[in-house]
Amino acid sequence: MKCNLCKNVKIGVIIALCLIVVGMVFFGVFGLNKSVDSRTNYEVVVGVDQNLNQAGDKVKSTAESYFNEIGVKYFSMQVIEDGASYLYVFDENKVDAKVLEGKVQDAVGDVVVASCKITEVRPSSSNQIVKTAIALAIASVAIIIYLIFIEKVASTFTVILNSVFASILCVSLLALTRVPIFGSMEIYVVASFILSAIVSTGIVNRSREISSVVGNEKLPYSEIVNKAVIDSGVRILAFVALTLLSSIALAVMFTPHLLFTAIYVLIAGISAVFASILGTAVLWPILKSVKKKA
Amino acid sequence: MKKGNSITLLTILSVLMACLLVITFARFEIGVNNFNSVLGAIELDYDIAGGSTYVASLAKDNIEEVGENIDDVIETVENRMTALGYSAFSVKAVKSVEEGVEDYDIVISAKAPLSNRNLPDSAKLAQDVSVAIAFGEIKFYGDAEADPGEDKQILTDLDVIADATALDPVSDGESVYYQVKVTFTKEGFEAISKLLEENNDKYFLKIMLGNIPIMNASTEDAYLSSQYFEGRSLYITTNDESAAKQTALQIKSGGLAYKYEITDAYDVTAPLGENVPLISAIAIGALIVIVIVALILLYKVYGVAFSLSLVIFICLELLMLIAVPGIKLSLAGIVGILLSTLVVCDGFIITIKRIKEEFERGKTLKSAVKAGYKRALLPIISVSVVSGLVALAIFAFASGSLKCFGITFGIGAVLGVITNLLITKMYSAILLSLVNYDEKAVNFKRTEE
Repeated sequence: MKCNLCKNVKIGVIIALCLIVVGMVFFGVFGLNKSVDSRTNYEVVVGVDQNLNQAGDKVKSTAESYFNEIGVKYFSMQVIEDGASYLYVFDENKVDAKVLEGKVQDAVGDVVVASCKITEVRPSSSNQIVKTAIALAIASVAIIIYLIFIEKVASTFTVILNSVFASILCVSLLALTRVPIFGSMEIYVVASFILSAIVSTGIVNRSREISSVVGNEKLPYSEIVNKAVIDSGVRILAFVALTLLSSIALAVMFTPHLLFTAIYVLIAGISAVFASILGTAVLWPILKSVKKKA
Repeated sequence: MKKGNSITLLTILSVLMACLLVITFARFEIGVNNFNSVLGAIELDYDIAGGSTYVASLAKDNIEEVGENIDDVIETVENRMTALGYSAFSVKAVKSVEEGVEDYDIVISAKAPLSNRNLPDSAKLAQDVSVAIAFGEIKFYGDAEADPGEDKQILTDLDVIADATALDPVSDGESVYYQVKVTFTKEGFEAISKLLEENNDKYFLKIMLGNIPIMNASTEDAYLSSQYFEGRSLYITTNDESAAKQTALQIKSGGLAYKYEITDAYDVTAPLGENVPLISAIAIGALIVIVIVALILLYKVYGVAFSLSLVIFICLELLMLIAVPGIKLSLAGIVGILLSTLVVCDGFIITIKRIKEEFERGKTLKSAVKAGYKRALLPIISVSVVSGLVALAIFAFASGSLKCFGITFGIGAVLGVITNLLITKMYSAILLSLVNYDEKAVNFKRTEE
């Protein structure tokens, strides 16, 4: 496989910077696109007082038929108390509680009593950004201490800077793509950090192996990185393929939350690989040259 | 290794692997008991398994208006639930859309912890929810007269409390004491010390937690002597262990100025959808099957060796989820398992690449495998150490579902090293011996000279 990173790295840097700058602007101005259950939403709780004669099934079918009729789509659904009631989460309040209650009562008959309640929900706005940042900072220090003995200074700082770059790129892409965010999106930023550290460690290790081969001492550092990336091609391709397969496997399960999770995993994986290749191609030669001059 | 020995060893390993698979996935009856498999024994958290919901409304005798401070209430309750050991729970404020309703109710949803009999302990969850919404801010009152009143509040504009911890019970032979160690901030301690020094003749200090006095002492008592203020801490005695824990939690989380009471409770299914654990297991299973098929097609015998190792890795990862106490699997934990599987596959690619290179340089297959593993040792260990360090940091500093991610990914990182460097090596040695290290049994090509 031929690839000339030296020629393409500038294009890669421009693309990366554009993605980060635009992504961060989106993040700063609009924030992340929170999913329905992570921002103010509406819950419709419809059900019967007792689940007799499969009344619960009738509640569900009547309610969902009514939602189709009025053209509203629920984001998620939970079953309450062994199927007697159902909780639907909506983005907007378009459901008429009295109409729905009437329809459900007609469907279940007079044996049980139907009820329908709509509430406005204010979810928690807490996040773990600070704790995650502290954890990653401490992890970075620990990684530096370990890698400095194994891979030396230039490779160590290349790995750490690539990982930070991948995390920032991951946040930028999440902001740019406007993927609805639910739960702890910090997990995927951490995933991007870890995956980038792993891929970068492999590339810099390979670079060190190539530079230690007799005859390669006079090769320019950029050429060594180029060879290392080509040699790691199968590994990188396999990494991308596995990330893609993981995302597809989750996405085809057709639940909104797993679909979003699949997208987050894909974005984390792409950020990690892109940051690792580009970052190593730019940083490793520079840091090696600086060290050599020193 | 001789062919006969390889066959024997492979047979033994296959039997062990079959046992491992049965233990991990099979469910059957043994006499009157049911064996639920490792998969069935994994404790699932609220977001993927559902749990119980408690609705807390403002009590009739609540004095303070909540208004826009509802976000602070949610945050306090969340912090308390986290401190009580819950991770994938939900706290939200709900208000009926009917006109005239102004106050929000607090809705707390979580999965009950398991009792000693491995059954959901709903009573414990209900108790913890009560602690999470417990009313009471910590307030200090001081005066030269005994029992200072509400008009004698002190330390109002300061951040006074740094920490509060329930200590282990202490016995003096006759009674058992349950104490809470309250540590003051530097400025809080300096302010209290100044007040005590200025009023050395006689000064009464009262500490209230909501309506309940938790300390009422004077400078004549031992409580307010320098001994008790050692390390900027004060020791408050409570009636029992649960009161000590509740007091410590309330003080540490900053208190709740509004009185809530539980008005409703019901069971709910998982908020992420029904059957998420099953769906995720199918997804990961499908991914593993695709990886196994691809590896066998690409690397033949070597692919079979890694496939067997990958299955063992998954079984061991699931086993560790029940072997390590306190793990509740959430969606974040499932993502951790997925990513650690990815890292294990990456480790295999590193090894196979090195072996291929050695083979291309002209070595025999046996020598290439040996040399390849030697060269792959350092990169695989580095990858695992890096993964493990990040997982450890996340486990130590994060909370909630991020912690579960750290645990499952960290376990995967450790098992990944064992899988790639030991199990795969063992299987490849056995399987390649069976085929007499025939070069056609793997898909390697030599470099044309």
